[in-house]
Amino acid sequence: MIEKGRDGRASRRRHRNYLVFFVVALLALIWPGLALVSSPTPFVLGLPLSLAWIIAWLVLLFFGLVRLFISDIREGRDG
Amino acid sequence: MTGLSTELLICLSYLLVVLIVGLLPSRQFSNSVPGFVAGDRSLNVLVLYFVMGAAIFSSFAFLGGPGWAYSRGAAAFFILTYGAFGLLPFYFLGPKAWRVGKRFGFVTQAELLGHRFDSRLMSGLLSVITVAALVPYLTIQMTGAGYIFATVSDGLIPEWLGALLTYGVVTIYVLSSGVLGVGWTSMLQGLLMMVIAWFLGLYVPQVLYGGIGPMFEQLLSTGHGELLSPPGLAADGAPWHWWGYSSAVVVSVLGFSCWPHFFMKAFAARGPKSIKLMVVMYPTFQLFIVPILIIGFAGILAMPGLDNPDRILPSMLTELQLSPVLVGLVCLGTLAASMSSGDAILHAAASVLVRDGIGSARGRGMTDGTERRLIRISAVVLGAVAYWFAVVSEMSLVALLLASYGAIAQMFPVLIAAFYSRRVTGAGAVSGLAGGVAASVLFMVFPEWRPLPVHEGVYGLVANVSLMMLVSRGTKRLAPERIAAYVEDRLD
Repeated sequence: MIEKGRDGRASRRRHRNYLVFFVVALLALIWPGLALVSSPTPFVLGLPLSLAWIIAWLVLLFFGLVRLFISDIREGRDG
Repeated sequence: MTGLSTELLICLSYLLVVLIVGLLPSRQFSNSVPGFVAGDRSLNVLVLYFVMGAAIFSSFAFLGGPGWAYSRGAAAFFILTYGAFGLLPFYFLGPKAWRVGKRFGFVTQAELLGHRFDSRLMSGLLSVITVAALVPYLTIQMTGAGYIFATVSDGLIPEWLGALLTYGVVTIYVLSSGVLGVGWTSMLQGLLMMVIAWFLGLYVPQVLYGGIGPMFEQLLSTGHGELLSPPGLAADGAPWHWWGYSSAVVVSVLGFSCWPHFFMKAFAARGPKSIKLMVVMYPTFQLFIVPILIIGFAGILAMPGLDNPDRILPSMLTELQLSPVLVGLVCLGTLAASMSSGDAILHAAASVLVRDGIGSARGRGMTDGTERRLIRISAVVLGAVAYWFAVVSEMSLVALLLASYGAIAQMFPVLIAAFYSRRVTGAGAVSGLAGGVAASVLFMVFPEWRPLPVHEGVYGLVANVSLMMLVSRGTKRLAPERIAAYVEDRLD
């Protein structure tokens, strides 16, 4: 299905924004993002800072994916 | 003795339950190759979620995962990260693969790429890489199952018999129910693995340290701070380099969804929406690696100096003197992890070997019935080869398995080119793939040749993309009508 015109361009731009978010999230969990929080302290909810940071980003990633999926469905893209 | 019998009884009863569940869907798909290999494209999101989740967590999850945290500390966080991101490319590639799969009747990725690039060499090459990567993977699952039986029976059931029993069951339901057998059992096995892992991850630190927080505090106060700081330690015990950590994550993320036993599920899905929703839900399954890592951290102070870190979980279970029922359940979780990966691997390897390996060598021309029969025979033969490596051969397969991670990631640029590039030619894609695999294996065998301490797969990817672009410039473009079905004016 080839999408042309303004709707197709807006949709591509939206997907590219999500791709940027995914890349930022990945960089937060390797160098340089993870290096900024590599100290074990302070503990967050009993977990070392770095592990809590990773889990927090995974939760963010999950919500990002949920939003992407919902907007795809709203746009009538089943895939 | 009574205790041992209880644990053994639990494991044996579990094998029986898995066998029954695996045989149930044997009449629920059409008597055809797409029925056996792709379940007539009928898998809903829940089955897909458990198939992917359970296939990804192999016996490595309960044995190797805690072992990494125990011996290499925060280096093990890499598993958590790459697993959570690994299916992301599938959100975009999966629906595209599903659409062309439905249109042309594909059930394997080698078949898709062979058609896209008009190259039987591509299909053949991919089938060789697939079988070379999946057989050692299967062997390691068999070794894990054999080890569990030898442990729970106190040697009464030797490892060779434990592996034979477990994989006898797996082979029977894979042969009779195909991908649906894998799907139904994965739901049971995936759920069990999740429950058991969370239970252990909370229970073990509670018993040993009074909770997860106190455990990490004790680790810090006893001078183990370096184990809690990423990137943790390398395999030799020296501090790991950020280059190594980050590149290992990136290569694993790119390669993750390219593993044939995962990618092929795009063809088994009911539709693109099921694929996307499965990817969205997938990080919730991945969180189960957190308790797995916590078990390993719990062992650092409780059982210092263990020779084989992969034995940390069974060693701690013995140390904690849990009730035999609990020990049996934990062993069952490990068996579930081994079988739910082993079945998908066996099914995928046999399908690819026949459909793409033998198929492309003969230039097609098999009837559906012959092909189905050959796939079943191949499943038995490949299972026997993996079993031979597991119990007879002295050869270490770890190196082959490690090499395969870098090699599998080389499929990623080819898949991207297939769906997003009109310029890449068949010769370009084949040379990229072959050059990428060669470079990746070369730098794995000779790590001292690497200019930077990054994962060998990165060198493979650089060689792959460069060759692909260079050769594509000098060769004739593919017919636009062939490309049109694949390259659309959209990202997903």
